[in-house]
Amino acid sequence: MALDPLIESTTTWISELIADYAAARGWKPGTDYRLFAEPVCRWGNVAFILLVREIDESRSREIFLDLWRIQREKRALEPELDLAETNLLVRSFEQVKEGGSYSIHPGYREVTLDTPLPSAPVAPAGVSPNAR
Amino acid sequence: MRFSTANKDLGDPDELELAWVDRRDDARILAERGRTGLAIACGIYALEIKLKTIICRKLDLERSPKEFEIHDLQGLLTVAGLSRKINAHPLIKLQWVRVVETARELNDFRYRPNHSFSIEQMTEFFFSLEDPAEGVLPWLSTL
Repeated sequence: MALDPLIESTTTWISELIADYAAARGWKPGTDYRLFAEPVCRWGNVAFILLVREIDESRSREIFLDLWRIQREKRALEPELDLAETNLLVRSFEQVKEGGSYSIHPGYREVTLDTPLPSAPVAPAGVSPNAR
Repeated sequence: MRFSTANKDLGDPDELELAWVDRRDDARILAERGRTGLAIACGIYALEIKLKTIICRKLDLERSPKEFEIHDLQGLLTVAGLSRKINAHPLIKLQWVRVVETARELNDFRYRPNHSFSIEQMTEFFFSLEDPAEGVLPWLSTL
């Protein structure tokens, strides 16, 4: 089923924003960070989980707030831009390995710039997101 | 012959107001005793009922309708008319997202043993839910 164009464009926009943020810090996709997304079309929302290697709680907050600020600034520069509501959760690889309440819900799909939203959920190799 | 259905509603807003506080208090008691799974589940119930209370008051409903018998926190926030408003508060939004993701595992908190969820995970959840400055419940209570 085709995605809502607004959901699709929002997913692409946020994915690119995060990829730029990661590249500016020298992070490599797959090894230093991974991004997952889940369109919640019913409520016009896209949920993202950004996994980053070796971050603690304060770094996780810092990354969230950095991305929040960058997003606001970019949107202010493009007032005509129409985007869906988004949720972004930042976690470490280790937290997801721990499982429990840190598990990644099976509805998430890994996002890369080549494939902003694959058609089927992808179980992230090596991270066991659904280990409970 | 007359048939009755088990179509009970969820109570009026005043009852819901008492119920969310009760579930929050239940959650605190369970958390103090390290009962991680049900403590988190009760915290999620408290938030869910709080949002339903806000919806009833905002829509001037005497009772919470069957249609609101959903456990989808993002949906309840949207129906409550708060999904954009929360964006004015980045730290609360950060905690909201954590709570929403945790709540998606509600069945696990009900059906899995406590050792599946660490004390650290439970502590983080309750910070997100109840911290006076950033917590979701204190913010909702100011509205």
